[in-house]
Amino acid sequence: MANFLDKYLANDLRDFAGLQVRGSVPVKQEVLNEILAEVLKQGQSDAAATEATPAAAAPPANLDPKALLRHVKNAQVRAEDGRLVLDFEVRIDG
Amino acid sequence: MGTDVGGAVAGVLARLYEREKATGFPSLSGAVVEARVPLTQAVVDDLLLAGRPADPAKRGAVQRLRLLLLDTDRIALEITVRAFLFNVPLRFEATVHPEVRVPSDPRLHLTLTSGGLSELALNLPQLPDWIQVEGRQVALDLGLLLRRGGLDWLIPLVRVCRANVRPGVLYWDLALQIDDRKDTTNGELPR
Repeated sequence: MANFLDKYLANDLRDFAGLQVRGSVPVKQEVLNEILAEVLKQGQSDAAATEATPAAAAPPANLDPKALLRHVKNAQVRAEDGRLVLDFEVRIDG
Repeated sequence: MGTDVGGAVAGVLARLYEREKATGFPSLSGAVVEARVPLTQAVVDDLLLAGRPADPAKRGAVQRLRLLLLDTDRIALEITVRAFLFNVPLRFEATVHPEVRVPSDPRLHLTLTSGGLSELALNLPQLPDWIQVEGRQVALDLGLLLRRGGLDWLIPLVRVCRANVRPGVLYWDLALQIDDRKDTTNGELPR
């Protein structure tokens, strides 16, 4: 299955032209704080790192976040009832 | 910091995903997602090949299995089964019942419209277990396939699941919802 995923990613997901996903996902503040804490921790460890420190593992060759972001047509965050809600739309154009 | 921020966020998200998946996504309660997922004939072919041995000698009785996307709500099932020393090709056409009753019955139901029912009955024991046959009624057990792919956590989240067959493309229209529930965690995330 991984081979197929690599093939689809290498093909810029053209096999899935017409795919549409949209939704609203509430995100609890605890989750956001956890992400922030991890980012800060990563930043501090980067600052303390020496040249001898091995780099973090590279993502799979075909998994290019920038390329994937091209398919995100809309994303916005709003606050509602004490939580943040992420509205998003992803579309792979033909 | 630079590019490692992306890696850090990806790491947190991956851990969150595993944790949430195991507990029914409590931190994402209230989430609603709608999707239209097109599966072209090439992708359907890939999916049916996934997990099957490349060596024909190791494939067992069913040597070849292909689902052809013919026309509006019409498909053909081509199966080549090994009988004694011969490979016997079988072809059945069927109409698709678009509605999949998830989560109670996560199966795609078909009615055979052509093809030898007796041939199918004769070869029943050799069919993959996710293809279930009762007379002219055939059910493709999507739940079983999802379980085998480790994706069965999706089943209780699905509210709408419709299959629309067009020439060369199978569209899945899906609506997923994580029921909104009262927060009883007192702000603590499940561990």
